[in-house]
Amino acid sequence: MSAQAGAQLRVIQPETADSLIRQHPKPALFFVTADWCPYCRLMEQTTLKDQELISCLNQYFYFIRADADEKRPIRFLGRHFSYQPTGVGTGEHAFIRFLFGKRKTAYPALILLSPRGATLFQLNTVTGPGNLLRLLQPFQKPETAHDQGKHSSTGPP
Amino acid sequence: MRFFFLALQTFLSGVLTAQTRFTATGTVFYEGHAVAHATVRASTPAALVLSDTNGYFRLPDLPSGKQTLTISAAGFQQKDLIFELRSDTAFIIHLERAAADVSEVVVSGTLKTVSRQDSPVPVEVYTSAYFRANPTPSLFDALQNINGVRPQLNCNICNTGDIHINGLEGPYTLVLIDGMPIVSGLSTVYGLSGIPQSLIERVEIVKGPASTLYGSEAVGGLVNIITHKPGNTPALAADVFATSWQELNADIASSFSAGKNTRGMAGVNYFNYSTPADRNRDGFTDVTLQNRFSAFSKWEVSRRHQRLLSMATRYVQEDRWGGEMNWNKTFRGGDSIYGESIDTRRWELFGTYELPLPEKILLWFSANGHYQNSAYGNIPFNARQYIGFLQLTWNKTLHRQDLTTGATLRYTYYDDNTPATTRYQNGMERNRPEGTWLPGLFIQDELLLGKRSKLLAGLRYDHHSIHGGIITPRLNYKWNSLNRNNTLRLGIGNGYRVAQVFTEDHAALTGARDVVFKEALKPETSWNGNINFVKRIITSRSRFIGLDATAFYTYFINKIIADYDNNPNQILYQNLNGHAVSRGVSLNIDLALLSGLKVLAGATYMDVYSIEGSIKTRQLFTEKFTGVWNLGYQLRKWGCSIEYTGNVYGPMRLPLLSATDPRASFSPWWSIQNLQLSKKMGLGIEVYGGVKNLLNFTPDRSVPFLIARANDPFDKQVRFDDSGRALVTPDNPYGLTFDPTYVYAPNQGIRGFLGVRWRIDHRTSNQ
Repeated sequence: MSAQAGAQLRVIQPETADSLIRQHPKPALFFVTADWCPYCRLMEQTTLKDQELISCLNQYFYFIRADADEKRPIRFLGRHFSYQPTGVGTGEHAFIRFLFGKRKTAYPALILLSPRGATLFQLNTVTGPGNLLRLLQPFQKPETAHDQGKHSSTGPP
Repeated sequence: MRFFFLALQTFLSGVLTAQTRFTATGTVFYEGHAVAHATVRASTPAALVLSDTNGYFRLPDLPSGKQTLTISAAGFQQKDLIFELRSDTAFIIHLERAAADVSEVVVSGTLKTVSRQDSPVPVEVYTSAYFRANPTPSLFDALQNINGVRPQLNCNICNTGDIHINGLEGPYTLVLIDGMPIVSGLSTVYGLSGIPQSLIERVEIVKGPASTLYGSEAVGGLVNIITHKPGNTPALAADVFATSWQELNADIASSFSAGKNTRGMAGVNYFNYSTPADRNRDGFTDVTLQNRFSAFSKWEVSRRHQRLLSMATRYVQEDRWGGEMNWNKTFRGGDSIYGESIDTRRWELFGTYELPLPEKILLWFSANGHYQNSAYGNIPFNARQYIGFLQLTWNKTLHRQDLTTGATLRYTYYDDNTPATTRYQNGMERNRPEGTWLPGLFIQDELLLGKRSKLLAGLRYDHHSIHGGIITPRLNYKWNSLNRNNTLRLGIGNGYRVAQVFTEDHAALTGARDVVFKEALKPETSWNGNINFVKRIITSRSRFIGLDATAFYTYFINKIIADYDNNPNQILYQNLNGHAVSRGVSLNIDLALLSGLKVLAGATYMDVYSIEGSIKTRQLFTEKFTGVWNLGYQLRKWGCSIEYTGNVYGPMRLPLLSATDPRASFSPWWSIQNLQLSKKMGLGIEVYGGVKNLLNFTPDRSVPFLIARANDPFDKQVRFDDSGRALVTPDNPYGLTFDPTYVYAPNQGIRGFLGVRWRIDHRTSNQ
């Protein structure tokens, strides 16, 4: 166990994101990864371990991890999304398509949605915590800050 | 012209105090992607900064009052923001393109990814970007750039070939498209051509025994071609390239909707090489002339409850010939001028349908027909093969288990004009085509043993109409570390193969030798095991290093050996009394450096041999060492990328015709290296070009001749002794007969190539 008191990033599963946003609207940052993508792992183990970034994300945003190979149906902002197979063992989830919109899917992706589902930005590069903090800064609204420290957090798998 | 700017106020202390200097910060975007090096100019006082690689800029010390910010970047319309500066302000700026829409450059993305994390079977994933580094007319040639996979050319003159995975030949490998198998012994020979690259998202390769779903044909490995998802396929894409050998390759692909629920994609490919070349001056064409057309289509239907219905079709038509330089179609089948002419027609239809039942039951189907009309010198060979395949699988997911059971049925019909399909009936020779039924049953269970380990166990039973019942078990185990940076996989399995002489060993058909079967051929049985370890290292400076190491061992009994060495006029097929072994180790390294350099390198060391009694014989045409690399570098300043790819092969044992054959019994070390430069020109156009085979390596360098007796292809001047061996005569100083089987590398030297890709994406949103 580390001697430092490090806060853990609260990672929300896509299926619980909907009810959380309705109860307490905050922008949602989706981290879209694919299990065969090593850059996704790179981001996870470097950038997403930064304490300052973690506390900013825990307070002002919902950090949601979406898997490119997600198969479970997802309900989000009144819409239902399901996995559509295109072959045996391969396919695309409609929710992933919704997150990317017209743009091509590429991983890793950080997609920030407003509480009403509008895309605020999409980032497809591997980036450092400082840069990510600067990008998120304009979207931090203190009136929506919500310390989620009381719930049991599910760290990155 | 739409202006879209959003200004947000961030409040720091200073609003109430009489501060007169403020900071303007912001981020510049284009369609959600940060715009680096955009020029941001302030009007009062005149100041200029550049946005950084994340699009961020900062202008400090600006006086309060009227201010104009001008943002400009190459390729975008200039934006002016006029506002009253009263406090520290942050901006989000969205730019618009200056010219018509250009396809996006995706900044991230690897060429090859390490493996699919969750799978208990080691799967290597190669994205389509990997294959674009060295463009080839078909995926068959493209696989030469993958460690452990080698396209093997089996004939100097007609250039037919198959894919060898870790030393195992073509028919041991199954080709799938989006997980749907193309069931046919010829799938690696023809199954890899005709799919335009713009429709391919990635290729997944499994080396070694995989699941029981695929039966005996997947003992060596699987090549799964995954096509693009909706949203990533182009409305129309074209890719044309030509080489200095006057080869032309053109691909056209399109994706479209057919009705409300159906999505389709289609592609055609045309390849033509018809300028005969004879650089080694042996009177024979160096590379087979080809004229090939193929058409591919795939259909996906959206159904209720997201049930799968996916189908694909393909048609390949190919005419090829090779032989003496003055050959033409009028000499086909004759014995005055030697030529091998092969006309092939092939169709395939396959797909999967999920039954509309509460349980997850899939119906898989595959049918193909293959026709060959050919002449090898003066020997005609005509054959046709039909294969029908049906499979029903039932998948049940329980708490920690994923259970699949299934039943399959395969029917193969084969007919040709050789003794292989002739029987004596009533004292007369009659044509008797071969029809075999192969029903089978299998069960497979994937168990989650804990958070970090998974076990895949399977058992399959097939009943062959000639060979009876065959049982093949499989076991795969996966363990990963908690942070999932280390994964260990162990696999062991059993497979079998019923050899079909025609489909697998083309050498049987050359006019050079007679096919003799020593005894009734029994099916080959193999036991294979592999250990695979994948490690991902992320350095403190955010660099990624991937390591993928495998050790494999395959033990064959009843291996069917084609004996070329015994008699130069025969190929002797027999079951080996002893056993054969294919074993080796393989390592892949994947590096991404911050400077924009991506390196992928791999090496395999293997030992493939057979043992009969106490005699160990190394297998022909199999190298002990191969290396492959792919280096890519992006020159961002000029908007282009440079790719350097290559392979290196160690010596292979080659067939010599006699004790007096002057050619080397082992091939030398050889290497093929390529260099490519590509540039995106805007408007969806990309131009690429370069040089292939930089070292100008051809196999004829170190031997006096490649084709034995090229001056007497019909053996008209050869004299034989009583046992059928060629005699040494003044006219035949080495005692050889005509033979084109001494081939281990493509006979094409250095050449240049130039190509262009053009892509139009769909405009409408898919939301």
